[in-house]
Amino acid sequence: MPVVKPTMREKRRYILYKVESDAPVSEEEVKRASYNALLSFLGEYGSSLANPKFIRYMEADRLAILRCNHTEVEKAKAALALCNNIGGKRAALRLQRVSGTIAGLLR
Amino acid sequence: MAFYDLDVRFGAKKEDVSALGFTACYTPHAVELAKPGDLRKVPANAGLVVASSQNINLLREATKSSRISLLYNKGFQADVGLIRDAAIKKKPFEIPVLPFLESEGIQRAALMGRARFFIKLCLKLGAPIIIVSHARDIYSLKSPHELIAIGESLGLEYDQAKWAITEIPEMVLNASR
Repeated sequence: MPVVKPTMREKRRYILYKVESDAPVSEEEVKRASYNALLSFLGEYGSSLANPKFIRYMEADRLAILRCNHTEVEKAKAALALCNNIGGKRAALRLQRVSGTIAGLLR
Repeated sequence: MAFYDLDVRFGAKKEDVSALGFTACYTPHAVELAKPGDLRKVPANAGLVVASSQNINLLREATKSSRISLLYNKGFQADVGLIRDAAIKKKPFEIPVLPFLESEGIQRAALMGRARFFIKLCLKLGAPIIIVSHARDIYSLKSPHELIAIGESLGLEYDQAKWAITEIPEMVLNASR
């Protein structure tokens, strides 16, 4: 397993956002819409800097978590805010909060 | 801190607006300037009035009118004369989010590029700007944090973006009362 000093590792931020849509959406659709929003807004190079990773979608609360690099968090927020459809259905991704840990997000 | 969206183009419910974190949202009287006479059609005491046009000369005329509260330069054409006039008369330019939301790919990139250059000139010449949603439904109505994030992606600093949805709208509202 690669060893990296704590000061040298990539600092991450977790973004919690709510999926608003009239029709029900699946985790796969939310994941694809989030990645497409980032790719469309930031491009391949920008997305590589943001290093996004879809963590989970809590279907009951319609909340999703996305991880990204701490330097690109504002751009990732803008990208998610500009997403207006999920799987062809009219929708919005509403930012709730940003934290350094998943536990902090859900606290 | 009071957050305002001064240009919402549908009847947003008060509870939806406050759930998003706004103090208030407004639907202004919108005037499309196509020819010189259009400016005279603005009624007196209309309250909040936004003048939009692609014609730089008409927008420059609108900066001189006391009835106009906000300017919307469609297509974000960079004209130093217009921006300087707006700076002198303290008339803010709207930066709406809806055109970015409704376009995609190279169209959105080009539009954002023009908006970024326009904002850069506004900051340089001291013209006030406000970020608005132009929302047509609840899905296109964005929260203050989202508007700030979009403002930052258009070249504003965090404080400048925050200023554009708090202090400057408050000044516009006070002036239009």
